Amino acid sequence: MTRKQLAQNLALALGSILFMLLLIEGATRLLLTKPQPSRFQLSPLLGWEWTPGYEAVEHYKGADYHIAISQQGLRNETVAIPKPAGTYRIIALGDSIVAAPGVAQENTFVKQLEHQLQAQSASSAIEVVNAGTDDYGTEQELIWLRERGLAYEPDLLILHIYLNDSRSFGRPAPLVARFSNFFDQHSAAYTFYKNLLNRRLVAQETGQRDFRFRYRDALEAGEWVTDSAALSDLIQEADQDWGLAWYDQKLLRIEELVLQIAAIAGENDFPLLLVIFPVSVQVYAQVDTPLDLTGPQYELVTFAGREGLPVLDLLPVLRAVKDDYTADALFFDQVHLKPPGHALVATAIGEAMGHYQLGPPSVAKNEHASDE
Amino acid sequence: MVKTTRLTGIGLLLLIGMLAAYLRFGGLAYSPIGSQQSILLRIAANFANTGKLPLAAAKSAAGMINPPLIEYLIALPLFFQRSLLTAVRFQALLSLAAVFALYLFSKPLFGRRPALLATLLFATSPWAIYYGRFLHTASPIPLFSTLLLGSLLRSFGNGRRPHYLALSFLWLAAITQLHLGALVLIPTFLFILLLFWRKPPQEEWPTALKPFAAGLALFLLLYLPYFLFDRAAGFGNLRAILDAPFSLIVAGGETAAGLAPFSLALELASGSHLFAPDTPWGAAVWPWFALIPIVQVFFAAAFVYALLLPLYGRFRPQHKGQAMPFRHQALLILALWILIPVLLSLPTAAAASHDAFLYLLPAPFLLIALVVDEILAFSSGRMVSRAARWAVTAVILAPLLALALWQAHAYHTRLTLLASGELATGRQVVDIERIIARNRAHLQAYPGCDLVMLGKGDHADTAPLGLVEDFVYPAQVRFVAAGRGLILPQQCTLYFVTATDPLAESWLAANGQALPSQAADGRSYYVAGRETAAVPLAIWRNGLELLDFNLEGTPAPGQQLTLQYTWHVIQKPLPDSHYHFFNHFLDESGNIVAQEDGPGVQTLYWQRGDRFMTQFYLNLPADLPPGDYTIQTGVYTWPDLRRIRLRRSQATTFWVTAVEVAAP
Repeated sequence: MTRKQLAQNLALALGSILFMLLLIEGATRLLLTKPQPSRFQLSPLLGWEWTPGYEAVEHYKGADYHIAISQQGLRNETVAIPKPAGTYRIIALGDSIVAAPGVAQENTFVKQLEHQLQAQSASSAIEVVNAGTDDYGTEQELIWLRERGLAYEPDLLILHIYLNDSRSFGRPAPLVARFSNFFDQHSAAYTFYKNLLNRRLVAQETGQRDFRFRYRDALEAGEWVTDSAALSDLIQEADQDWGLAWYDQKLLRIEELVLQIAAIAGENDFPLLLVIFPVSVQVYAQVDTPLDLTGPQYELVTFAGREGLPVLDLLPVLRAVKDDYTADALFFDQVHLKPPGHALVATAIGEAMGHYQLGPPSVAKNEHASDE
Repeated sequence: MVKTTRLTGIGLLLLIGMLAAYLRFGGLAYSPIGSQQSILLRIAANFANTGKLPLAAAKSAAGMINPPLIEYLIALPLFFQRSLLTAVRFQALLSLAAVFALYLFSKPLFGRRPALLATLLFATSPWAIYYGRFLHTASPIPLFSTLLLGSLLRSFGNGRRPHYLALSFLWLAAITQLHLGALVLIPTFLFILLLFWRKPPQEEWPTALKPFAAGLALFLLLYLPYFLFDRAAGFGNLRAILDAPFSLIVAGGETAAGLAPFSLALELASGSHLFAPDTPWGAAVWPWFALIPIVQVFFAAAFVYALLLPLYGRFRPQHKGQAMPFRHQALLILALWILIPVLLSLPTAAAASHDAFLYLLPAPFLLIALVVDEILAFSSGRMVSRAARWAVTAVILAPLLALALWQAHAYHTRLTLLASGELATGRQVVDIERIIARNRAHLQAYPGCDLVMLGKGDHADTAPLGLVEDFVYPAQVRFVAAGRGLILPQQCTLYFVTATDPLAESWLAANGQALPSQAADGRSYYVAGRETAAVPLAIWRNGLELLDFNLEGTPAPGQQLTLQYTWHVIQKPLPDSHYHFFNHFLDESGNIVAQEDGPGVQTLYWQRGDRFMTQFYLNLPADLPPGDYTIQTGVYTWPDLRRIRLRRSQATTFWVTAVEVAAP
């Protein structure tokens, strides 16, 4: 074989591979799915993050809603950096509860709180920035604050804690992130087969397609409302998600991370307000369990009190209205709130800010005066 | 003169095969099952039970995780029959296959006579039999080294077959997977290729490179699972493996240099260490030990002869410019096959062991056979008289045949000793099989029950009977160390007690039913499940309640106190969580004067609803002053040592009891 023949063979081989890949891509697009811009991209720093500039009307558990991600990677309008003089800026840091799937941006508790504070102080120079990202835990929130959040020059940080926030996360290598993000955006076949493979791997490892959320059947069955044993079973089934909060080492982990966040807030001279979100099960259960249904909130509130950190426990707030709202009216699922829930949370946070004299000086002063 | 016809050749091969089969398959029930065999079998059985492909095997002596090929090989028969004996028989089958493989590749290359002689020596080789009879990571190596040697020789032999070259990469990958020490075979292999691979004309290069490309692909394919495993481990093992040969070969490694590899090579050819006269086995065999140095001399002479061949050819003017005859090439390849790994291993001689050099087999036997064949061929020349020919034949062949006969007799003696119980080798296949069979029968008689193994070790990975778990699958098996605690489950449970534990046995006798098949190696009990309500003394935030405690012993200097706790699990521990208990004996100032920590019952085995007992021992100091003391206990996570807090409290310790130490 001559060199020319060798080169021809190599070109033929490469061409065949390329053709096959294009064929697979074409077949996937034709028969299975179109390439869909992804809401999230891999991040070597945070594991994953919102895709800057992503915009779509999405469907979430029966609700269509518009979602727009700013070029800064937040479900928020673009925020001026550096902060304009005279602006009071609050960062609402958290996970999907803050990001609020299924709810129009104007109806999220973050936006409602902003309007509320603006109305109280009669100033539009108050911003509440939505820094919620789906599935973030406290560790990612700490990293986000340290690496990105400080650039926003917050005047107040509201850290939202949910019961699964001790979950750890994996970081992709930079090259892998770049590769995956590119093909996620441009190849239907890559996304389709990657998801298929991931599901298969999870199923192979755990025997279930969705091991983390395996409690959902029990949640929907609803026996836990009146049956203590069923309630215990449900909490145990959720031990890869919100059930983690019933393990002391996991709460300890959250406490350690919150202390680190508090230290950053202290060093940068802005206060911190902790807001603890319950799981809907805690709101609607009519029985207690040997596992101590409200134990996680008790421990976290005690911790905050011990450390002198302002804290708002939303469990009593939501329990107070459980007779006015069915679970379906208040929650999309085990935790994500519907618009009425967002309104309640916005009000409760506003009141807590007043109680702790947090927020823009005029608001804090007014609230303090009304308390008196 | 010894000449073999086709028929006698087949007859002799059958005889050798039968002999090899007897030496490998006879009395396999006495094959030892130690901790290494246990781990190998557990991973393989798990593969067979669950279908989940293992990506790696167990940890090697060097601290690295071994590649998984050995597990695939052991699992193969287990897919058909979950039996230890079947797994060991399959290993013996691989060993027997190696014997036939040697004949099959050497006969077409060198003729029937040397092929038969090499096969006979290999069939009766003590080390080949030894590793063919029990499960070891390195046990299948002789088969793959035979295949590699055969493929390599056939790819250079008359009528070159390039696909053998591709296959040789596969066998090389297999050998290096079975023992990381065999990595030195890679430079050996490459050096031999470099020396004997005939450079093709320019236009044939692409064709000539095909087997290399295919071979490399096969090599990488066999390593793919291990690569996937190591990727998850941050490539720590592959880095260590790549570093190791470098430090061993170039920098000298961490171990002392020595000539041990030379003696190990000689030893592998003869097996002298196995039945030395001063061992029970050595004492029982015919005292023909003088044959051992004879075969070693044969081997050494053949080795030197093979290495000198190129020089010999160089000084013979009539051979100048001619290619080396293939038989001489083969002899040189065999000598290099032994020499290079031995030389490369010299820097780490202190760490050398037989299994690390197992890939040398069957090269010494083929080397001896080829040189003997050369001598016999030379003696059949016209210049030598008939009587002299017979004399040479007798002098050369008789010791080798006698050695083969003696080695066969020695192994036959070993089997006899094992059967009569005169040769103790620790736990054997037959012992474990009996225990498995008994527990399988009990689990069948009491369906739905769990099995608790109470004895040495508190985890399947550390318990000598850990592999029972994988051979009574899918029944759930839990292990508790005798004297450390007991699981008192909610559901019905069978217990198998293999060690003395008065506390546990008295509880089992009181609450359970002794099953009829009591034997020296274990006692079985059945306990019906029950749920007991009790008010806890303390609740920890990880869902653990302390129900009761009991203190035994005299609180006096130098005495031991026994603390027995009863716990109730109200919340299943998280996967991968490990809790340990601490037990502190404190003086009035709060100083710890005695302490014992430990898991009691491994967290892995805590199940929601179960109660379990733990026992801890506090050794009081001999100079303990009289006074008031307290005992406190608590739970912490291992290994990150986070103390778990009591529910709705910041406290992490529970005050168990006050103890007064009186003046003597």
